Amino acid sequence: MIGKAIFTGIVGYAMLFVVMTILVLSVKWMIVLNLLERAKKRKSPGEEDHMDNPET
Amino acid sequence: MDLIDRLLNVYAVTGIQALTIGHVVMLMVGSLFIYLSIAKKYEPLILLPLGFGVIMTNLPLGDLLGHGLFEQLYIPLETEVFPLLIFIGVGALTDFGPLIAYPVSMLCGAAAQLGIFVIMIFSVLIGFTLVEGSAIGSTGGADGPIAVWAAIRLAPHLLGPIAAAAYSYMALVPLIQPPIMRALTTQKERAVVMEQLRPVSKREKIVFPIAMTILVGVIIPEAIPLVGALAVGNLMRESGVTDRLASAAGNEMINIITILLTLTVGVTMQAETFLVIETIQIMVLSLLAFAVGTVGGVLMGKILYVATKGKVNPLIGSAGVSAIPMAARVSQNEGRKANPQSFLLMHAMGANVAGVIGTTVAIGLLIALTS
Repeated sequence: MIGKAIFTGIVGYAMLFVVMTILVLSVKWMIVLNLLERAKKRKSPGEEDHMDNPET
Repeated sequence: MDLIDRLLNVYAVTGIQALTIGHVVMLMVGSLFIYLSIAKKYEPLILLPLGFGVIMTNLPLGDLLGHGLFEQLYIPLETEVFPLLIFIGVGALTDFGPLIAYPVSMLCGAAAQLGIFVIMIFSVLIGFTLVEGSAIGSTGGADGPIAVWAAIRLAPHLLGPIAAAAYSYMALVPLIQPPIMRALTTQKERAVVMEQLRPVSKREKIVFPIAMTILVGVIIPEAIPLVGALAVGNLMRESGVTDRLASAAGNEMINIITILLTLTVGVTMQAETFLVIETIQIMVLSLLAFAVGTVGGVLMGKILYVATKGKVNPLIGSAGVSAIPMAARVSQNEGRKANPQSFLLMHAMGANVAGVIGTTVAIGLLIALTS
């Protein structure tokens, strides 16, 4: 039983880091997309997109 | 003689003849919760109804769970409806902006779950089963609804002590965390002033809860209910088209469900099942889980401090537990004590909301790995 618990603990904690790292990468990817979008807007200024209004 | 018999019959239907020492102790426990909530302002929204539930259920012969209102209220509790509805409300109140602006703080939210896994192992070592140990470890996230959800899923018979431990330690965050934070960091580290966070667009805030649900759900299906509830509440808040729903979820709904959930959890804390040696073990293990989680978060903060060549204040790591927003406030206060120019709150909030996600994912993983 204790062996299974140690295995579950180590694998669980490692998997948690994997999942959270994937979330970090997904946010970073979103930031890149956002920057590209803004760069594109700057090149061709047009109608303002309300979705891009920063809130913070 | 007839009169004495009648008087004895009257005595027999009162609760006095069934009153035990256990009942008296639990009445004192319930009163203590109410005292802490009113006099000390420790989590009053939780401890006051919880304490009153404890008092009601430990009045002899009441049998509250056997019939009527609480028999009905126990159904949405044991079918996970209550904690999930609370999580929709939590999502509606949560701003993921600081986390999106500084996504690396997600790692603090992962590291601070160390207590969940360490105490799960430790619980098994002292005689609990693997699923019981996982439920006890869940208190390491210092998040009441998640701990209740984990207890219902994994070890429903331990719901009372686990809920009591989780909610009590949530209130004690400002007492438990600072000594650990100070012991693990130097004055120089605590005094680091972090850069202001970048603005986050509405588009990012809308995409994040959807992406999070899909990514986490694909990898850990067991976490879908909790992550999904958190995300849908947040999406209602950030979409800008469902303000009424977000307001209802974050105010009326979460308040009503909190009353019903805490009262019902209090009613489950009966002397016969609560006053056992396991309860004391769970209270101690939960405290350790929370302390170890804080250690994990601060250590990750120190790793980030080294990796960024001193740009990250390690104090934000301890906010990786999901006691929101209390843990973030503790980081802010400790940072201010070390350097009055330091303003860590927003960075700590990023780690704090990452902690909510981290605890959710950790419990989903434990359910998947132990079932």
